[in-house]
Amino acid sequence: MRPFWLALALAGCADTTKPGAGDDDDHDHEVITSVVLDFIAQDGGDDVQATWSDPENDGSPTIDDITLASGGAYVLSVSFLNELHEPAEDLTAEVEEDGVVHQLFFTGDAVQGPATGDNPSALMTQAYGDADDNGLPLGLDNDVAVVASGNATLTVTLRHMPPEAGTAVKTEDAAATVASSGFAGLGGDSDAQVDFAVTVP
Amino acid sequence: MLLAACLFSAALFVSVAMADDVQDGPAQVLQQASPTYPEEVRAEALIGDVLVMVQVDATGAITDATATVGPQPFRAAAEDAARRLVLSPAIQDGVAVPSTLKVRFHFEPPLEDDVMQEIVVHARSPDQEDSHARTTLSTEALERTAGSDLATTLSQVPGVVAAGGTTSQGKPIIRGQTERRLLLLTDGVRHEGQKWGPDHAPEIDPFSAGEISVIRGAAGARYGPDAIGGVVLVNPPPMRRTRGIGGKAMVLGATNSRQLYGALRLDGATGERERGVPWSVRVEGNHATRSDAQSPTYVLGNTASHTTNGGMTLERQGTSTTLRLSYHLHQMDAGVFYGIRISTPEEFEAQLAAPRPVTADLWTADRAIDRPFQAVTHQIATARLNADLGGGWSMQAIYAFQHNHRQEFDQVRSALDGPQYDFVLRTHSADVFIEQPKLGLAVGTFTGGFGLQGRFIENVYTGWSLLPNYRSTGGGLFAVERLAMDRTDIEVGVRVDGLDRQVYMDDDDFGRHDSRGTLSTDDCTISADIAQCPTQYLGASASIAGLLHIVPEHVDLKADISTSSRFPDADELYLIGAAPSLPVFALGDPSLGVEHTWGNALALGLRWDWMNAELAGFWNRTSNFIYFAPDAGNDGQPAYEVTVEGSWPRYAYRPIDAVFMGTDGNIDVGPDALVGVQLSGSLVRAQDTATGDGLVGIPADRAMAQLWFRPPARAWVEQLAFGPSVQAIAQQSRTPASLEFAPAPEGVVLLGASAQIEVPAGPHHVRVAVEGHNLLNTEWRDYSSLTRFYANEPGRDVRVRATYDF
Repeated sequence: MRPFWLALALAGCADTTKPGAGDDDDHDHEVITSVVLDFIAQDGGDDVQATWSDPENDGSPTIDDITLASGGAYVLSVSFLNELHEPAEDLTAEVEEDGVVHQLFFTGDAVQGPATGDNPSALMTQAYGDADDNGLPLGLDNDVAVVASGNATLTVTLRHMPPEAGTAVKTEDAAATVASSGFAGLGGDSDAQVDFAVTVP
Repeated sequence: MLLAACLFSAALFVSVAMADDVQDGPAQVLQQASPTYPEEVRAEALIGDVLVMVQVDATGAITDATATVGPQPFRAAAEDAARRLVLSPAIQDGVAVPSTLKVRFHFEPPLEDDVMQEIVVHARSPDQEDSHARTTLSTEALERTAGSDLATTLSQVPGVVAAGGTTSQGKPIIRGQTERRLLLLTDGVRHEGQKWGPDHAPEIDPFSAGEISVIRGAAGARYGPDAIGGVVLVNPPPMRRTRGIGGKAMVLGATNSRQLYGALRLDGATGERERGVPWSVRVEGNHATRSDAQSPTYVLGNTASHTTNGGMTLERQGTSTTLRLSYHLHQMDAGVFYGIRISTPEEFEAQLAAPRPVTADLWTADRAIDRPFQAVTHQIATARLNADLGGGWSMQAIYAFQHNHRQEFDQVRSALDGPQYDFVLRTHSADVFIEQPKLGLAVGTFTGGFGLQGRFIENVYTGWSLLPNYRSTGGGLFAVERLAMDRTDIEVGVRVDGLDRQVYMDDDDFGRHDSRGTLSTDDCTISADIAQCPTQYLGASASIAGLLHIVPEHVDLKADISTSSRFPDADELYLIGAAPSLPVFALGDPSLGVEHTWGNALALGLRWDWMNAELAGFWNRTSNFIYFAPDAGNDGQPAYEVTVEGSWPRYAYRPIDAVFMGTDGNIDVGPDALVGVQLSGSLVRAQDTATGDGLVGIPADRAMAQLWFRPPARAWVEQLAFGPSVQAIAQQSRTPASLEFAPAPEGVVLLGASAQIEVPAGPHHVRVAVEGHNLLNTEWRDYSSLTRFYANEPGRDVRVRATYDF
């Protein structure tokens, strides 16, 4: 709390006329503006990168479509950027550091994986390729196999599940809960939830 | 002259007998006695009623007279007057017997000698005198909600609802109007906080009040552009004038949320001295700590809070001037309920259908506060000068500086440790009111005056995209004149206000508005990546009110016609971002204009010893009513905003024409009788006149009944009262489902009970009370609460408090 006499003395000071001073550099106010998917081909094919980006955070995102090779196998790495900051700040390491309270979920009609249950029309399968410090899935790295051709939507969700009343909210069956009850069955908030159009020729 | 003037001119209210046995006849007042208005509170113009318990022996002689209820400064004068009464004894079976008589004395400032014969005085209290429907909460009512927030305290007034937020603190709604259309005056100073937020409770300490009055309805002509829906007057107790030290102490405990509360007020005064002027000083403070609240079936996780208030006041009383300096601090840390989370519409719909919050099983009740939480500090320093200008003119001038600092901490990655929303609001204000001499003419007595207000406000915000910074300079000029005639009072008020607001936003925020077409370079000056956007407003208010004494002292009718203006708040113009508590993307509209309200109101007052009542009705029409509702895209369909956190329906502020109408009132039957009952209720209807749709957020109809049993006083118990209460809240079913986030909760009936006792403790008294709320532990949700989308309201709560006046 700022001393009252100091506040009185500062009445009418210049901080009013300089909005956002320090905002971009203030760690506490950083936001995710972009989600980057890197599909690293494991069978000699071409790598694929797709970005969901709203660098001005103004509700007008640019979204890359994803085209994967039929029958391909990939390692899918996900990263998060704050492009309000110049140069863009990579927040992926913070997510990984806080892995025990974060998890990525891959849903939508394009995918079958731990968070979807059976999806016979899926274009790809997804399996977690990493774990947090407690040995629970994290989802920054994943194994993806293309299993069918077509057009569909992939939804990538970064869920933040901090403890409540000192008890962990993130549990080993979090993905199964999403599969059965959707995100409403899960504690925490979504830090990011974006859709990509997926095509497999 | 003063001595003569101080002889109390008002009537002694006839007592209601409370004899040991009143069948044959209670003790009777044969000759009344007028109390002397205490000189030491004359400058304060304090008004109040004192109840005196008079012990009468079988000869009619008075053996004891003790004031039990009423303002402390009047009690000695009331006891003195009671001892001068001439009484006849009570008669039982034809035999004179000792008995106890309750006598009520009314105090109000005396009139000046030189105009005394010409002045017509009707009113007996500020509530009766006010031309609007007005209710002043008594000391007893204020104590009943001790330890609670201001909104809960005010909700005892019919027509006022406490709207729950995301923390343990709520906001008042008066006649359907939310806080941005209400004016909160603390000791004459406009309270300035971030009142636009639905979970931003007003930072006002009810314990610092000696009385709180609620004026229901538009009062913009007297109080200014925020007073469209009503005015809340929080007035401190009068400063002590007699030499010595006195005060008040209170402790309280509550079962739900395991609340502990302690409060202390110390008043000291030097009194009259041969040399020098008298000084008065007050030091006060209180602290409340709550653990997580509990609904009937689960803990409401992270709703613990800790609140501290403190203050000091120093007053110097000269012969013609009184100077008062004061400083008050309010500090609150409050957890934000875990169950309120940012969720997409799909998640929101799914959790609405769930029987309990998804992580409720994890929550345990403790006093720890976790993220998310709010940390709020409000400081106010005031300097007040009351001066007798001579010739009957007087002046009151107040300068105040307020510093409001609100920090909101969200659940974020562990690398972040600061707040995500940080608001600083600095307000300088000056108020001057010149009161004219009372002017007695053949037609009646003229009273009134004129005044001016000015304020300079700076808002500095840092955090996630939400609000811009701004500086606003505003002020108003007003005049009020009242003519008191034989059976009618007429009051006329006029006022004009202006506001200049300069908004400063960075290029990112400007770009967000620019991309949506709500701002352009034509509206703002862009320099060094900062957009400066000016707005100016001008508004006028006027009112004419009548107070008709149909049956003097018993039946009054109030009627007023008024127009008031309100300037748009900064959030209504420039808000942009995901709402923290609702599944929407909120968007302001910089083109919004001034709201204008035309209002009519009637209030009927009925006052007898055996019954008091006030029944009021109102009808208001507001043009350019700024309404938060779903926004449509260019195709006329609901608009959605795609953000990195998902796709959100877009809600925007837009102007509509709205009508508010309704009724509220209360009846108190047998206020001093062995058995009494209090009834109160309110209903509000609000409509978009273009569509006929009911407006969102209008409180549900409600009624309250309290039964009181008051056994006769004994030597060791000066006052005892107890009884059950019941509150009924209907379902709010008048809003189209397309405008609501969720269906309105079903109606509910809640059972409560109260008991209070006052016992002597040396020369003073101790009051002990027990209050029970929701005694049946009913599961319910409140339409006016933000948590209704996520969880049930708290369950059973029993509160015990003890108060000691000294």
